[in-house]
Amino acid sequence: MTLTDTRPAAGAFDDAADDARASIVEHGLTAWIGSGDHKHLGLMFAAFGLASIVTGMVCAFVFQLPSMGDSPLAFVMPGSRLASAGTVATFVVGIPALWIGLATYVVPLQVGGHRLALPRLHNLALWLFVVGAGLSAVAFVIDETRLSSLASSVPAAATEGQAATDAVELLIAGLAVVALGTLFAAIVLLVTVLNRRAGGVRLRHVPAFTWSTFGASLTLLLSTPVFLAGLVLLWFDQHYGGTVFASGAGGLRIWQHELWLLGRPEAIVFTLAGIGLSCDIVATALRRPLIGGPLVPAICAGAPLLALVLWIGGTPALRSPFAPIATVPALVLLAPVGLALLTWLASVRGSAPRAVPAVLPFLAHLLPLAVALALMIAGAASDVTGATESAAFRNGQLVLLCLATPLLGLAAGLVHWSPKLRGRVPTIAASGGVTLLLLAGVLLLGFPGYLAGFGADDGVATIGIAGALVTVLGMLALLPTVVGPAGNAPGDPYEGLTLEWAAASPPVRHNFDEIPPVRSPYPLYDARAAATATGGDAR
Amino acid sequence: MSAPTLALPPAGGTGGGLEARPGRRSSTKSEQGILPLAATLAVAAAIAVMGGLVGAYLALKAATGTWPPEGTEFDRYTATTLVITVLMAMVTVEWAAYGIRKAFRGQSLFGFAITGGLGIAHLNGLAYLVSRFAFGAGDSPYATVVYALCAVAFLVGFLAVAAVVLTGLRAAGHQLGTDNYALMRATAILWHAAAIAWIVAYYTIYVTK
Repeated sequence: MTLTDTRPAAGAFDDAADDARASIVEHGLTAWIGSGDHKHLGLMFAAFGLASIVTGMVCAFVFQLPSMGDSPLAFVMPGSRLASAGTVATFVVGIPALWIGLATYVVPLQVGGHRLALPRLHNLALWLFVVGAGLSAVAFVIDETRLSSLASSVPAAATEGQAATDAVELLIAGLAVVALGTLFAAIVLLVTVLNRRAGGVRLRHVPAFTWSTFGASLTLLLSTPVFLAGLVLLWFDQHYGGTVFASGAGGLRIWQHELWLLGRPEAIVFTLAGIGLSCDIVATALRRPLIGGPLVPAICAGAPLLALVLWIGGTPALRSPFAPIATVPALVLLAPVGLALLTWLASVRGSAPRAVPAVLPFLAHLLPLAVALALMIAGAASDVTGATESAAFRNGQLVLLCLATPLLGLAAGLVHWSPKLRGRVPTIAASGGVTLLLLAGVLLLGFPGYLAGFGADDGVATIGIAGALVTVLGMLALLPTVVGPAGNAPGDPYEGLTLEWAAASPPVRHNFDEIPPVRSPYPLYDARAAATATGGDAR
Repeated sequence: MSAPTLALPPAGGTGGGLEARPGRRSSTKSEQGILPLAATLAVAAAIAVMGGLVGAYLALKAATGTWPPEGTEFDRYTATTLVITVLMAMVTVEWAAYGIRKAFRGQSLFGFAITGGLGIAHLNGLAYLVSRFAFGAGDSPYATVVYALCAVAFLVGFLAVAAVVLTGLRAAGHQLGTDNYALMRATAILWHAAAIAWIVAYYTIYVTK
């Protein structure tokens, strides 16, 4: 039996013999495969997410280089199975797995827990991701699938009376399995936040990243089942040669709300979940709590939930978040970002921020958002007819808003919690290098779409491929934060404020030997302030 | 003076006061809440799946002139019988839960047996109902979405029946009790979800049409 989720027996924490026994049980590949330890699962999820994104980039850009011509429509190229495989690997598997991995590792630490709520279910979720991704990959390999339009807002691959091929059914099965994995992971994270907090840690005491995890998990809980419903309907339609998606407005509406990979809340939820992560990084850099009180958790939990507004809108005027005009959903989605910016700026006033390594990727992750907004406005004001409505322009928006922003945000999270993840404190130079590679890569990846939207076609594909290669290099540079031998970093190298910094780096098996009193989301800050007031050791 | 700490309690330190039996693990109050909470979230997900399908049904209905297609016949008698069956099982699963909670072993096992029987009857009836449909799943958008609704209701029902049977076996093996009630509560919640799934499908297909 290799599951390692059991609660340690009374007195086990002080017992060297138990530690030695645990080390025997937990070493080896089989222990990792069957592990219920949130640290193992978090690292495996994150490593799998990184690998999936790299695979997606390579599929969408590098492998299809010979057939690409001057087209910049890498992720949404109609009829290209490589582009569709890249979209699935990046947006359906990679980014969710990376985010779940980080949340799986950090959230139990932030709430003072020593394990996940349902570790076996979370382990199952991980392997569902792996199996689902594998099935999808096989589907794209064995046949030219008619579902290559899943990244398109129009169901061009409707069967119109033909029976499905094996590849189509395999892809539906793969996507359903990944969706089930996402659903299980969301349930585990929600129950962990609600039920696995240490005694004395109330909901109002949990840090910003935990709140954003809560909001994002709740969004996934509500939106992923709708995707599953769409897949069930699609399977019946494809398997029995139905005509649901060829039936005009009704079929189009179902496709856009339930199946279109980039029109559902999952497309934007991880962008919005980055607000909580950023709040924790900003507070650490400032060495003091953020100004805003209860507004901060409200923004962090509420922002991912706002992704559900993507379901607002009628056919054919349904707008995804990367729709290049100021639609009501777009404005609603921007509101929490603006509030968070105001909170950060208000908190910075009168303090001297430190240059902690995660500040660079944190600042960089705001840049694609700003660039996307600027280009959105420029596109709307330009003289080029239909520039902002073109598929190329939308591809650019997709890359900047749904890939670049969450990717850089997650990179900031990996760098920030690197001491906890692998016991290593990254240098500013290393963090800057990763940030530079990722930022340059994703900007190069997104710009061809905009350029094509504005009518410039020459050489844009080359820019996109260069961007993909640089992004892949950036992702590979991030790998040491989740794989490799563990270092021996100090428990709290940044004078952190939140509970995870009270644990060793990397944490011991049961996370905490003792937990400081928790009376706010910033217990370590409170402890330092109390010690300073009584003239004691500030640490 | 050192600051007070919130040291973790030892395993089982706040467990129930009943005498433990071999193979039976008492659990803390916090652990007791995990399974019912997870089951409730799973129910929310199941309802969202049904919501997605009902949304598809309504979208297709709104976009189609004749709905359901002309000549479609309904076996309302069997479908209504299935609704009554799941409603009865909702009561009997709570009876089983009551028996566990109050340590009335005989009543609990009887409740499990009746719930399991009604559940299997529901699945059998649902399969019979679908087999009697006079249209194939690919004949029309209406047919496709009706088959999808019934398939999801069947799947959720199957999972709930499996949970009832497994929990009943654990109860028969003395593994559930007043201090270890979470699995029973979660199973009851799952069964209610299965019942709601079929009632939603029934209301959509046979009442609103």
